[in-house]
Amino acid sequence: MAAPESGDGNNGAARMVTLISSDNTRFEVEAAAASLSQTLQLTILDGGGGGGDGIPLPNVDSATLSKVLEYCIKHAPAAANGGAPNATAVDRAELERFDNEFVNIDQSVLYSLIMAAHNLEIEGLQSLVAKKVADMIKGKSPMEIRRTLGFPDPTPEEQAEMNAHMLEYGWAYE
Amino acid sequence: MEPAAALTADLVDEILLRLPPHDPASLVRAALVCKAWLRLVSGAGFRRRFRALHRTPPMLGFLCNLQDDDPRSSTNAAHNTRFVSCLPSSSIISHRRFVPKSSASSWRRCVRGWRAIDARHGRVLLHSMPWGIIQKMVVWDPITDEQTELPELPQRPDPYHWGWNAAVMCAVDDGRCDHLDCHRGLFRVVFVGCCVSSGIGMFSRVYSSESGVWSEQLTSANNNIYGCLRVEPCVLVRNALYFRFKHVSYYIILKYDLSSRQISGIPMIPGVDTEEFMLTGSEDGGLGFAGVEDSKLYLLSNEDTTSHHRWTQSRVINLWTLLPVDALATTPRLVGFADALSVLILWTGHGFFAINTKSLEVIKIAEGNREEGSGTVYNSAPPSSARLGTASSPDAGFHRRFIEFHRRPPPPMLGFLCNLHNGTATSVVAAANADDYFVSRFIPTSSSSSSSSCNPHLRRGARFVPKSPSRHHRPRGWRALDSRHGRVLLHSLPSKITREMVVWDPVTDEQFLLPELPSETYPYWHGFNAAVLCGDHGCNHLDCHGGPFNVVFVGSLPQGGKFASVYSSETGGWSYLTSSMTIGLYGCVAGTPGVLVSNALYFVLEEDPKILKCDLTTRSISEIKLPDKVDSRKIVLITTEEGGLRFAQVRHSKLYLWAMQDSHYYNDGARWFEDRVVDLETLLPTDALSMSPRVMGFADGVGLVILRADDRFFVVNPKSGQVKEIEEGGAEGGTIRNVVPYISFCTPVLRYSLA
Repeated sequence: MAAPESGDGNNGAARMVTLISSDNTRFEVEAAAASLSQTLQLTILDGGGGGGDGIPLPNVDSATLSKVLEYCIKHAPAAANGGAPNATAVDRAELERFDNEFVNIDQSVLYSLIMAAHNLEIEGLQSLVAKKVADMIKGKSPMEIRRTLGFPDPTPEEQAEMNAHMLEYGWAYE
Repeated sequence: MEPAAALTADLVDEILLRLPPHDPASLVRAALVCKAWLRLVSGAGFRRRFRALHRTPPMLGFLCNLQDDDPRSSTNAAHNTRFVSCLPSSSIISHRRFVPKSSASSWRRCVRGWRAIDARHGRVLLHSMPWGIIQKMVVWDPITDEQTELPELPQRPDPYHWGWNAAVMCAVDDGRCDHLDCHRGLFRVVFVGCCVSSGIGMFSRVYSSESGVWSEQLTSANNNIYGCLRVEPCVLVRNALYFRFKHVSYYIILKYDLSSRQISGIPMIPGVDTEEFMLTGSEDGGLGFAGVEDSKLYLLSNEDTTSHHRWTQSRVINLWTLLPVDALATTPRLVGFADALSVLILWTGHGFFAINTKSLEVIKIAEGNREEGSGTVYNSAPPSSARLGTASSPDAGFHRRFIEFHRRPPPPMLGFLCNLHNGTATSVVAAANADDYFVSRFIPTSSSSSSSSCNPHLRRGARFVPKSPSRHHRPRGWRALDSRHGRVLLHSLPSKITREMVVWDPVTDEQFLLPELPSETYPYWHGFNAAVLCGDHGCNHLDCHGGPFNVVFVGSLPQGGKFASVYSSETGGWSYLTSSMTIGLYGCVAGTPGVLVSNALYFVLEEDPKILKCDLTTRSISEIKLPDKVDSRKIVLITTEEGGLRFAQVRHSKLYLWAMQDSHYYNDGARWFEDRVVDLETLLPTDALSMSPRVMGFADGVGLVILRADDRFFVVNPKSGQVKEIEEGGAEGGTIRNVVPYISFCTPVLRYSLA
């Protein structure tokens, strides 16, 4: 796409954009951080989100958005370096530590986070959260996975089908 | 809103893609959560994305070449290859075993099992066992269980005679296939053999699954390369296969270029203990080399310039920092290398460890505990194969409980066989009534009554009486060569003429007349020796009477080098084990019994005083120099509880036990030191010391030395200093050459049970 310089106000202070959550809370962040979202990047490049108007995000509530932005602000410097081949090991270790802490959160927040990351197309965050959920379900039986993820209990037909499959794949349960 | 409902198909996809590839079961369990997930996971798109995300296929496990649990249970199962999973316990193909499908083939009946030779790109190459009976190769895909039986190689020149090796790989070159999932694609098998006799040298043939036939034989342009190939793992690096290759007495590396099909040699690093290394890939994608010495893992890489090859040490890894401390109680051995992953597989008495040579990550992948009956690691093919065996189960009842109860200490020494000869043998083709010219008599160590009541063959003075008639010439007597694991190995005298060997079990009185060795090797000239051992690798040898056994024969080549052949009671035939033109060139194999130390047999060489080591695991022979001024005719090899090699010698009424410093790394310039000195004057009765005592034999397993002093036998325990005199009698009327101890349990077989 176009080069990042195409925006205005590129003198001294970083350019800020305003994001508006579904419950009408306004968040002012650096454009570089918000641009981690592929969805927002286009709008920002077109000069949107600056000044008073802001970018409305009707699918993301304020609690989730603040979490998303926490991630973006932390990762923006590294991303600006273009995947950061020259980042030091210390920097990378610090980011890794941050990531581990970051996903150590309540499951419901995790789900809204993965949806927000998906909608906003923030690749790193999406991957981070998906990995966390994958870690939560690995080693669990199908029933345990259902409970972990809050599925409703299976209907009798569903249960019968699961049982049939389990017979076939008995080794998967040991 | 239910959280689960909130997860759209896209999000579920993102999550499930990140399940660990080395645990395939987790994907299956996830697929069973609901119909939508099942559809998703079974879709081709998901599989493609899963591979694309994870890139490197995981090492699912390795193939273990096993010696079977109980060979008597089924004729078809003496050897087999089992898949040892590295996955979490609930794994997809854990411990799957290769079972040939084409039951109609006529050759199946003769095959006693299968051995994995090589594995690459998701396929495994197996060869039928035992070697040399039926030459069948099969390519097996353990995931899909597809099997392809390869046609037999043309028999001229004999492709197997001088050693061979083979490798399997995807038929598409690295550039055009990423080998992430080429399971159902085309493959090829490269066979490399050597033919010394007809001046052909190295040759190769390629099997292509597309054409279904072997290619024409392609001989090496450089026919200076000849020697011995062994079936062991090779590596694929930059479109070339690399094999270890024994050129007369030293190793070189053989390079087979897959595109030009040319064979060339690469010199080994000078001064490296060449038995104990493994070819690997190097960090920069070239050829590498790994070896373990003094608990350090050495990694070297090869710089392949057009003019020469240079080896540089790229890494030294201290295994103490990587492995659990107790894992290093036994010397670690390299057993395999997964070339796609840069993962080395290391075996210690503690189990199998996978070491990533790049990240130095270590994972314990499997248990492999000798004590648990898993036996010894034998050999490997990458991802790896190791030969393990399991203990056979003895018969039920009192006999078993009796043996279990006496598990420690080991079986008792019931007595020994005393090799005598009467008068002086001047002419080999002598007169009749020479039956007792050479005789091996049993001398029980216990007091006279007890063992004789138990078994007639264990009476004082009892001798071996052959049941089957002789093949050529009536032997003039029998001499016991060796005894181990309850069996006695005897050969007829004079050996050059009668050429007969018998394995005899005095407890059961079973006798096995061995077939003759191939006569073109002149096996009995320049001295020979042989050892008998139980053929069940995982056996605890407490009671292996009636089980399979092996005989290892060591003789001289006509030119002076040494060779070893092995007889297996399972195949009923002799097979070539190893040979060397330079080892033991001037020595003559002495007839005193050899000892077995961690799967290697040691024999004494006379004239050029050395010890000959015949390693059954690596199938190689080497020599160990004895200290100066030691007369090899007057020593007896012994072993220690710790599994070390010693020898015993009597000088000036003292019993000296010599030990070797770090037996492993000073093969030729071995350094010996006096480990223990036992003053016999304080131990033996004074009247027995009128002449210097002679050391006659050593009872392996019970640690007893048998001495002869003043025409009496004494059994000495060098450790405790205990001495026991053996009751007189049994060995009269002859000159004693040596003695062969017999160790076994002997529970009485009562003909009539009390009602």
